[in-house]
Amino acid sequence: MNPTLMGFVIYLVVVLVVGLLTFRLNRTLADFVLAGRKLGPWVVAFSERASGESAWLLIGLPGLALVSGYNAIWPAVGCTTGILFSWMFISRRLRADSEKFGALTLPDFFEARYDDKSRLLRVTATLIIVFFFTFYVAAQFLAAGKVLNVTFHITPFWGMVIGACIILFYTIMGGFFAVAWTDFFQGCVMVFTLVLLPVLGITLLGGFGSFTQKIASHNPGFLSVGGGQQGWAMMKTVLGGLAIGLGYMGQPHLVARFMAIRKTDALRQGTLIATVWAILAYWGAVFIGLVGLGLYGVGQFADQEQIMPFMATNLLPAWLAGIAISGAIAAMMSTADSQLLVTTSAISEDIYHQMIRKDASQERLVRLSRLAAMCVGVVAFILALSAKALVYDLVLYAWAGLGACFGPGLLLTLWWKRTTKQGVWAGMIVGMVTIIVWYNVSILHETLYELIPGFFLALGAVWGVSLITSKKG
Amino acid sequence: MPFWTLFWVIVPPIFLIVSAVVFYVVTGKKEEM
Repeated sequence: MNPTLMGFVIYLVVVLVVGLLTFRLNRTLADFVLAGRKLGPWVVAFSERASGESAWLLIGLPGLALVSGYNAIWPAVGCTTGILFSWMFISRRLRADSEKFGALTLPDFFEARYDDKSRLLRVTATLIIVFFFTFYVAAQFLAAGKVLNVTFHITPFWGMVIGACIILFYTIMGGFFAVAWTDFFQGCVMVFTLVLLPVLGITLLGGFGSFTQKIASHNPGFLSVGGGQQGWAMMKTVLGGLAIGLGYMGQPHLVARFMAIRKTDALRQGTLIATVWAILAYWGAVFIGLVGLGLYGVGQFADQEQIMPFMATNLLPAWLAGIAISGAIAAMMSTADSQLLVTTSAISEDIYHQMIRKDASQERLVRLSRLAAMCVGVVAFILALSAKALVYDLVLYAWAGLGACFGPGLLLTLWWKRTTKQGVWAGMIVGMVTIIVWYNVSILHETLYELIPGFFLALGAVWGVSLITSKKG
Repeated sequence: MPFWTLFWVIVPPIFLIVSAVVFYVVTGKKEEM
């Protein structure tokens, strides 16, 4: 057997064994969705990071650095700041409040927190989650196709089929216990890949000095964080990159991790662990693209997002390349499974259990969750087949949608006592409409990344409507 | 290498790690009290 394939298969077997071992731990829906709030700081921090960082980090960001040089540092700075902010200011209060109100999911939390009998918050939040996550999961399948195509020379279609089958299999089998534990393992593989490849590449190029000279020889503008741009073009890149960090506090699959930790106190350690992980991973991803630029130059790839698997198979011994490629697959699997899980819990818990059949048995709910995962996976797969965008752009769209719809409402709910349910609902609607319109009107999309107007308009809506309705109350 | 490139590559990680450590220590002391 090809050693690269062998490394990859061993990785998959380990993931599936972990999934099967933790399968037995799921007795109730709370186990399936939140692992019974029993997870420790290392597992929560690694699984929050592994599911937070998808193929976007392993495939998309190195691709961006390959075509734009040090300019790609802005998403790294924005994201790591967003991660730390989220852990510092969202995690502890959300963990404490979600347990107080007995909430399992983000829509559940909003409804319980505001005692919303109308169900408007729950239904709106659930529809937003299902809509944007389907795009997000589709981007992961698309990336699986690219990685398996470069590594094993199978067609992108069959790459997507294989990736989708593996992800669906173990999400359906394990639920959150499996997802959180396999995410922990995948978080280790991802950070290993992201650190190893650039360090090896810079060494091969003869150290940092000659690595810098190599980049400058292609285009001196690549050495500038402004990317050689001026005026608004430069500001757009800088702001767009930094703004990605705004999205963290609104991602339902990440805030679900904060709800799952054993004790609020463990979130202190989790903050440190997650920050260090994020810095190593983000700087590593940017440097993979930069090293690729130094080694292969510009215009060597038909698709810029092939750089990471290409570099792994070229620089590493075959068995190690298998593990590095597994790092990329790990990123896709850990994100897609968490999102499938949140989507399915939105359907089974938020809609079916809470609104249709309150007396449904736990077995029935778990069964329904698995069926829903299958349905969402199939729709995402069809979407991935017809997708024309880069993984980088497709993920940023879904990211902006979720970040703008939920981030402002969650932030103000936790930190401003006058926030009302009408305000949170208005924020979701304004966020969703802004993102969809901004993304689809090309002149707006080309001027600024949609999360910036989406987030701040939604924040204004939550604040303004809360002020008006709280006075009335 | 331009100064601002070095600045943005080196300073943010240091700043973020220091912030995370300060957060860890301060919240730990609060909980002890």
